[in-house]
Amino acid sequence: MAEKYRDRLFGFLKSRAVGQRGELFTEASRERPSSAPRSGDDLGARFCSELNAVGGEAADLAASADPAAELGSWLQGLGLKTAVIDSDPSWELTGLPMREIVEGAGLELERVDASALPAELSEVDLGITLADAAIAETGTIAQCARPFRPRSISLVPRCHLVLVPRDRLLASLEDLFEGISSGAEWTGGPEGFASYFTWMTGPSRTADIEKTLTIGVHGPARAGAFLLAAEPRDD
Amino acid sequence: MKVRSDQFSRLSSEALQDEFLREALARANASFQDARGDAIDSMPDWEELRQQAHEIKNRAIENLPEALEAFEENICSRGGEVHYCEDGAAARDTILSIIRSHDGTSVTKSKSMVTEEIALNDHLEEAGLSVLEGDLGEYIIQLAGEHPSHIIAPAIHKSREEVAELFHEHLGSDPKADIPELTRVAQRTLREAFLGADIGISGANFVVSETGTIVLVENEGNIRMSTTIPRVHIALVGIEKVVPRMEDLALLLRLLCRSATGQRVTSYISFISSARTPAEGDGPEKLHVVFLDAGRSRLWADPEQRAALNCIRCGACLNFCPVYGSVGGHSYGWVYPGPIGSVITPHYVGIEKASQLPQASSLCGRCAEVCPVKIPLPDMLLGLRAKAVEAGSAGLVERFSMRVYSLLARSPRLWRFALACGRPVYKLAARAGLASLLGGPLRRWSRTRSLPLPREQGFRSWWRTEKKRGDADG
Repeated sequence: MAEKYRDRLFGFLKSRAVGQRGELFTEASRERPSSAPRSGDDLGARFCSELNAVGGEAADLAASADPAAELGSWLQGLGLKTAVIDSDPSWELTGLPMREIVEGAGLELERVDASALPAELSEVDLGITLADAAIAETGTIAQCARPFRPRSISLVPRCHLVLVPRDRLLASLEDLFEGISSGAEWTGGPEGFASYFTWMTGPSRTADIEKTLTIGVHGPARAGAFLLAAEPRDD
Repeated sequence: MKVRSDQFSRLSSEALQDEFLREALARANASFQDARGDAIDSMPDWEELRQQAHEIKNRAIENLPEALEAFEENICSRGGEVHYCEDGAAARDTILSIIRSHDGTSVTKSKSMVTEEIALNDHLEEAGLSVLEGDLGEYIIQLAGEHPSHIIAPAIHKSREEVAELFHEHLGSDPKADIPELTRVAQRTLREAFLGADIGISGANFVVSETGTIVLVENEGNIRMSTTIPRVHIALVGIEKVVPRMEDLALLLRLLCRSATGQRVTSYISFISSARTPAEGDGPEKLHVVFLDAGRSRLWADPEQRAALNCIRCGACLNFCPVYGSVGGHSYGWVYPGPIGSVITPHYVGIEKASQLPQASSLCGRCAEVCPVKIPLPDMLLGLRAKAVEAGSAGLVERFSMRVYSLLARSPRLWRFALACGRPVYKLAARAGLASLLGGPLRRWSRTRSLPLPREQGFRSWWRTEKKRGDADG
């Protein structure tokens, strides 16, 4: 029934040529709007100010003498009990002993059984991940679903902490979409664009009752994002 | 959803008596307008960007069949299934049979106007399924047994006290709970529902041909829940939502978020191209896209009205409309209120069922000024008024008086003569008061209006004296 309507619909649409038909994907790229930052700008500062303006908690630790200590004190301030870290192989590249930092802040690290992911993750207070990309223009974190990083780890725990190596920070929305169109490694895997790609900009929010802003509805109520130096530091 | 758009005049009169509604609308519109204003102040090239967005959407709509086919090919190549439905009934049946084929019994839904259009919830509940809305505003009106009154803020017509009362009645929460507590109550209830649901149903803000991707824009996280946790994800999408290229989204998302809520981007934007891959630990096992026509292809074939399909559903035309701001969304009698609702409703439900809606506008033009994709809404409302007259909506009196007017307006001499005769009559009428002269059925119009007294000298004779004086001085 539905399949039959497909043919009728396309038959009708194709019988009525409207306007200027053309090649779908060949148009020249557009200029970025003047309000979007360019690659030479201080992207770290823009990223942090955008994210902090919408209730996120962002800081640039790239120049910090002791990023581990700063992360530890932020984690302690959350007053939470349990956390889970994704098994991203690039944790090693950050040079941060993340498990020790988390446990040192008094949080208990949970192991989550892959067969019951969302339900079990829902019991955990804090999800910790690495960003695939971030957008300075809007203070946005972008992540693909990956075998080592479930879709729900940034969604169902009450809080989300994400770390962003500085070389993954992009200037504008256009830079991100160009990455997708050109099949950049950080937009997916061998099959092309990721099955699930999500942007997160600050905590979950609603204004559905009397237009009154309330933070933390279905997604995390606190969203921390910290920029890290691109290369591991030699201490 | 049942169409009551032919009752606009009665529904809007009732709405005007509702004091809370008028206060709520005034507050909401002021807040939406301020937020949008602040957001676009930071974009000096806003007008140029609107023009570009207008061109992107025009191009997408002009190439609709090719763009749809490319989307279908790409999403199907990664295991998605695509269905096309002629009308609401076909879409309801298709969705129900998908759910049955996956042995689904419980559904969570994200906010989607197109599911309202086909009255999906009623149909699924009648079939014995449990259906819960995940968006806070939608959940509130679902508990209240109502329909959304705004496309972005569905429960804008409800006070916090009404919500507290509803939650107390249905969920046993404190009847005096404040807004943060009410939000927590809903969050806890819905978290259980998300974790137990087999089927997640969403709409789509855009679908992208280039990669076969569904794009969903939200702030709460409920859409991510419904599209991540249940075993099956079904997206119901109007055929006009397709855009060819990923790059087009950079501009469309900027304009959509700023125009809708004044945000640079919303808290979450999801790009879904397939169900989970074998290596992934979570995500749905199956992804279905159900495309709905339901009047869209007919509208597409109408060159004068086709631009209505460019709409990206930001709600700005509602927030700036003096008519919507007075009478609220329910007065429009169907799913889509405000100027865009007055344009698309007659196309989707038939002009004979909605001939009052194109009249529900003062043609002030603010909707066209704020529309991020530059839809010429007032022109389209005028076009629909003409169609309504062609379809026989004008009564005897209207047709007769328009004929007289047209006769006078085509002859300057007749026009001047009529004015000269009319002037003393008008003066008498203005002194007596309109209401005492126009009784009977005309009282509905006359009782709320008064006529200004004319000046002693009319404009034409004033102009002649001024011109003479000017010539003499010069």
